[in-house]
Amino acid sequence: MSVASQVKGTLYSLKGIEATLSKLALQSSDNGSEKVYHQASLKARTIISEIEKQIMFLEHEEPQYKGN
Amino acid sequence: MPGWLEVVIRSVSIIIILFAFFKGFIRKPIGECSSFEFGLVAGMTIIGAIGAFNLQIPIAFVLTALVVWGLFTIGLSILVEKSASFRTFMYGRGVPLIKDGKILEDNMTKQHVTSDELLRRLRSKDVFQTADVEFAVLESNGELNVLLKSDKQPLNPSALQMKVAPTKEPETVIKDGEIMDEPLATRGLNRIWLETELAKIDASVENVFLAQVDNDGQLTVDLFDDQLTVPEPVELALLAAGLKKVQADFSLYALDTDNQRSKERYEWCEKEVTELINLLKPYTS
Repeated sequence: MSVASQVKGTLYSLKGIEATLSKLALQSSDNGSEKVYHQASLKARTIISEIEKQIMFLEHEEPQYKGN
Repeated sequence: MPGWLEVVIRSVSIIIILFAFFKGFIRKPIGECSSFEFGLVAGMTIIGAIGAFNLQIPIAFVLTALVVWGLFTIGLSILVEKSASFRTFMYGRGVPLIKDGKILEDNMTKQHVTSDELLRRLRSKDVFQTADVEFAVLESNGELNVLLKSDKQPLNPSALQMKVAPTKEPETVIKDGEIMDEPLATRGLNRIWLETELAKIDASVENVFLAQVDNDGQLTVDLFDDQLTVPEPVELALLAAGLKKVQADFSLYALDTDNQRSKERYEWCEKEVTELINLLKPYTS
């Protein structure tokens, strides 16, 4: 398995985490918890965008694995 | 009019009057009333009861007595509410029996509390050693309330300087196999959501005895059929595990790569995920 596809696996895990956090933020009945979940989901989103950049870079480096 | 009919009419009307009066003006349970208040209430009931079958007493007299006693009771409760000094006069004041960890023998004699009784009352508060008590007060209603020394108090998160997630009351959304629409709506949920959640754990509405939604929106259920085991909500545990996996992944990538820029990027991501884990720690644990 190429590095790019491994990193993609991590990206999908993080996307799942972000979705869970957004869902918790919507479902939470407490204002404080809601804020924390929302903050956490935003943080997850910044990490996701950073990894997406990294994947683009990796695919540029190893074009033979592109799309895996 | 035959006598028995008059007794029936009197009884029913007096019961209705008393019910309306007690319902409307007496708000505290009878156990918390002072003995005088209890006496007033009991007096009204007795007046009513005697007036109901003693036909020699004209009904007007019975009603007058009831009105006077009733007005007195209402006046008393208004006075108690308005005036602090009258309140102390009526109910008395709490008397400290233990102060600064020392038993006040004078107060005990004044309140006719023996040492055995003090020990018994402390035991009923789960205190078996008087040395553990900082302050104890005998309330005017006879209850003993105890403040333990700070090192003997039960452990709580603030003593450990621990951050815990705030909690809110859960909503009961299914009772006896029936969906409660109002609690669902207060949490901004609906029947479709509930059915989806139930499908996830392979349960049908008819088989659910109780279902509650906690403050994170997770559903916990108890089934009629106790042979079946219901999976516990794992959403937060999965979240914590997923975050740890991602954190480990980034550490690994950072070690693996030779490219300096990639390394920095992985390390930054790892740091952010660690922050995320710490942020969510009170919620996931």
